Amino acid sequence: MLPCKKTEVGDFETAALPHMNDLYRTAVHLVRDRTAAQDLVQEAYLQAWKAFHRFEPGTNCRAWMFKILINEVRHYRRRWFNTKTVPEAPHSFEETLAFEPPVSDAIQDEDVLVALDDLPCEFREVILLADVQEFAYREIAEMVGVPIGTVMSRLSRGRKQLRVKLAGYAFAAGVGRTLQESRL
Amino acid sequence: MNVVDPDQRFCERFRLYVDAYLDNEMPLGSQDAIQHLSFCRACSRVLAERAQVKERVRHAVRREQAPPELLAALREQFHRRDPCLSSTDAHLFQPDL
Repeated sequence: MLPCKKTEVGDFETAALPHMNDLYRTAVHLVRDRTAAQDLVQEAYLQAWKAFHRFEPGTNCRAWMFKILINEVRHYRRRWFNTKTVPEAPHSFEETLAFEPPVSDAIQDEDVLVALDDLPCEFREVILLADVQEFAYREIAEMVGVPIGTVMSRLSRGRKQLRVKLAGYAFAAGVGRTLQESRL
Repeated sequence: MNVVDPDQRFCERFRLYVDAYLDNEMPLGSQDAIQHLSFCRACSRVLAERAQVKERVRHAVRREQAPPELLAALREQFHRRDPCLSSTDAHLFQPDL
């Protein structure tokens, strides 16, 4: 049964609607389709509204809304794509000190978005939640349904792939620093 | 026998934590890695570059705004589903920008 008291409607709007833009931005980059992102945000709000009587006032409504959205995105992916997951891999010391070309200041926002959208969805998900939405690792782990260590590993690997892609774009455009300069 | 340069050992240790440091999520017991940052130019540069990429991602994604029709659709959805919500309550839907 849907909640129907006018005060509840007002409470829901006050708590949940300020997050609409953030939810939409996240959905756009999770599904890489603006129309689908709109539908997913709408569905997330509908699910949140249906469950709002279970929401505890004073708890983090933003994290709650994002958890619902992530769940909707999962359903969407399962429905439309045969998604492959990225195998989790432990860090190695060789990886941590491996040389990476620096990312040029001349990189445009559009390049950043193309590189982000090109990442495997597990990596994109945690980068959006940590870097853009600034959720704590604990909150991300709860939303995504994985241990904190997995969040950290995906963030580290995802950011590394992103840096390499951005450095590649800069190099291709002839705006990256030379290897020798960047080692100084 | 491999001899590991102590500075390199601290660099390795810091770079394991660099993402956590960037996100203010350093685990307990990692104080030595933080101290290392204050005098290691190479690690400071790595940190600055990673912070720059993080900021670039944040800035690029946050430029995207939800289209007005999404707000209109949400309003319509709630009005349709909740007869207690009158049209005069529409002002309550004010998402952040």
